[in-house]
Amino acid sequence: MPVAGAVVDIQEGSSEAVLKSLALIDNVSVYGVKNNRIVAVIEDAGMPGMEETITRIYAIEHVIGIYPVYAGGYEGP
Amino acid sequence: MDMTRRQLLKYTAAIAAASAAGLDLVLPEGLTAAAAERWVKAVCRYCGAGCGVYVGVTKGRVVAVQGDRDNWNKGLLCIKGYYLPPILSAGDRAKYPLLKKGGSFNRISWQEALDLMTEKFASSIRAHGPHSVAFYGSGQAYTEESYVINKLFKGGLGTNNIDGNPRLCMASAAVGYVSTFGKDEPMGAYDDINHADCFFIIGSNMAEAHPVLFALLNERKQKGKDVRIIMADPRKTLSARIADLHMSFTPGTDLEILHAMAHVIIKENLYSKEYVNNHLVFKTIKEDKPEKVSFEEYVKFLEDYTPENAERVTKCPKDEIIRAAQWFARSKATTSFWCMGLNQRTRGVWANNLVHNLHLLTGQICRPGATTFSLTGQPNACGGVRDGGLLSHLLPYGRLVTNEKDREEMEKFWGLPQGRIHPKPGPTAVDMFRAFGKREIKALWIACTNPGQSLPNLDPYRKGMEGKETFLVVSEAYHPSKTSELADLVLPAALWVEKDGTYGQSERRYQYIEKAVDPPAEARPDLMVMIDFAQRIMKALGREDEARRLFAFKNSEDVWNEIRQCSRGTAYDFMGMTRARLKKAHGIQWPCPTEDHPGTMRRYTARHGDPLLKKFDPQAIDVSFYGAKADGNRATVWLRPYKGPAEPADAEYPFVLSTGRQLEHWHTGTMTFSVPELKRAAPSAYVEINTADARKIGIKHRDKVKITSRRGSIVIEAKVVDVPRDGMVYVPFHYPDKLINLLTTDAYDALSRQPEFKICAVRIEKA
Repeated sequence: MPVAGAVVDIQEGSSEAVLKSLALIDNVSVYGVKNNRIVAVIEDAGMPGMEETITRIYAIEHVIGIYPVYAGGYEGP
Repeated sequence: MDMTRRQLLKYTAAIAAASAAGLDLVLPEGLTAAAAERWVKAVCRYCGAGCGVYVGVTKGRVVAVQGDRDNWNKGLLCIKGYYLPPILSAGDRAKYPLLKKGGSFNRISWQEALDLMTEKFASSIRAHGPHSVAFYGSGQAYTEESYVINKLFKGGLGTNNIDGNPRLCMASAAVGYVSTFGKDEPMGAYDDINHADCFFIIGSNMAEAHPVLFALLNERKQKGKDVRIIMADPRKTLSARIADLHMSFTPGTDLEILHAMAHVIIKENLYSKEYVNNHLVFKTIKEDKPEKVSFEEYVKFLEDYTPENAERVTKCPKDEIIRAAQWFARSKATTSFWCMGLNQRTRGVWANNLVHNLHLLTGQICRPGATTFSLTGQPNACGGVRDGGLLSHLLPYGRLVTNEKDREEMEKFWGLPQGRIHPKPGPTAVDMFRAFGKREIKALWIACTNPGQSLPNLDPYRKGMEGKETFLVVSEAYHPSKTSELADLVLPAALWVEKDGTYGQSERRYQYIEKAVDPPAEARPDLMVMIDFAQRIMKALGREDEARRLFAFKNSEDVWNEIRQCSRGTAYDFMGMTRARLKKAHGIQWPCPTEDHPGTMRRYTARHGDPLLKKFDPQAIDVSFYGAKADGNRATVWLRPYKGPAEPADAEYPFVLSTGRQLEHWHTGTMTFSVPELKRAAPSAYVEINTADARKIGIKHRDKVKITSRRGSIVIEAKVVDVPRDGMVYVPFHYPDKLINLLTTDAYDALSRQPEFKICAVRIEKA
């Protein structure tokens, strides 16, 4: 069950709206905001999976990009 | 403090992300991050951006990855980078040499495999000469691998039958740089993003194809209130989210736009007289030869390229062309980025030349933020192939097979008899596979690439690869791929951090990748297989002594040290990039002539630190395009008339098909489809079609549609979306079960021999 630390880039002045949208996604935790960048941790919770969560974040209005910084917890087959 | 391993992982992940975002966050007292037993420095395996990574290893397995905060990518990765660890443990990894017999593959030993391969190649050379064998390489192989195989074919065997997949992606950029500046590769650096206040992005969807560079671009846009971004693209991609001006135009007409921008720049007196007088020459082609013309003749040439005419040809509003030209010229510093949208074209070199023209005319070059920058698709297309000379017309480090002095220099350096290197370029990618299909080439070795999916107009070339009277060897990390399934012999290859080596990426940054784990089962590093094969075939041809001298390498460091020597004194000069330095550094940019030199961020400018400028042009004050010695160290502004694509839309095939990438996958998908999460995220191919066009032909979102070109057809799901402009459809080329390259054209650029993947004519109907 991988865990990713990610930077979410957002448009200026949109942090409140984006944070509200992120709060609706169960497997995302927000650790802070600075200069239109949100620090988030995404957990692969099985359902929804990591890829679905990332797709959902991308679809949030004002989100410009998501950039994982750290990925751990790969156990392999 | 009581904390589960999962909570610890979450904190570790949060701290890494916070650090990249400039936010202070620390682990709760008493805890230390220990998500892996050890961390190994490497480079991402995917695109040519070359993001620095650390690979976390526990019990001999890669269990984690994190961005390198001290590298240019500031710790950021893209989604594909995040999923790097699973590519190593995929179920379809090739583990043993396999020989095809009676249509099925059977396991054999390495000894048997190499004996057979040697016998097939040697007997072909004995019977038909050295041009009856060939090698097709990759911009994903390590520099050391490309160097050794190039040395074997061009030096050891005396044939230039060696080319690679960068011919499909970067050749037009390379020829564009050489024809304008005299030498290949961008003169600028990613750091230019931090200084530019205007960006001109054409034929590139950075948000999906180079996501971390796009993050830096966005960061610059957010910080610099006056920063303007112009995106010229017939698709309104994710990248356009941050554009101030999105210029949409009929695919294939961008040469007209680029000329019209130059027209505005001249007409509004926005050009640099200093550059025109001191740094430029102007050239046209007359009777198939370059001929110098005056600046005035260039101005006259541009007369008809008015914004009004350009609007008529391109469907891009003239006001947008004028605004783009003004922003480009008037900004304090302008950086241009482009990628396959310009390169994969029958006029790809010309399109590259015309972007360079804009920078040269306006003097938007050779200072921080002002540069003309071709983005790269593969992690080592620049390093191993363009720099290293693994193309059929090149020799290492800027030398050419057609140049007698260059051949003599390499023959002397490699210790070969005079005349061994053949003076005629070998066949380029498409022609190589055509020759294999015709059995003119009898034995072909493909390594680290998947032409069975990535070549244009696939059908005849796939049939050629399957030929019964030829011998095809494929070195691959995964099996079956669309190429390995056609092979006679499959050699299992170590992948990424299962071996060590060097990558050189887009901004001339070379980085060392340390071995972190062992490859699976009997998979071996391609380098060691190449050295082994080189010694065997040279012996089989009665050149055992030569083999001992030429291929006495014990490891990749031995090869790297020879590469450094080979670059000495050239415009590349790697002498200062020792293996020991590369192990510690987060990449070094060439030229780097001495061990105390920090590397070069910007070339062709003394003021901004090019260490070779005074050596090649002692009289220069600051800027000198010293690669263009024959033109007095001046760059060339080319007069390239407007030409459209080889196969424009017409009444029978009314849509333009363009192919490309999407965020979740990479190239032919051998790696990304082995990651279940990425496969789930983007499981199947689709065709993007504009809503107005879809309405006109009665197609709804998710309908099955049949796309047909003059070469083939596929049935695929429609994605009705206002991304492509009207008259255009778009299909990603990643999907092995929907080979869009069955439809694309193999018409290629006459100068770069790069095929026109971006434009062919198709018709669409409901399936």
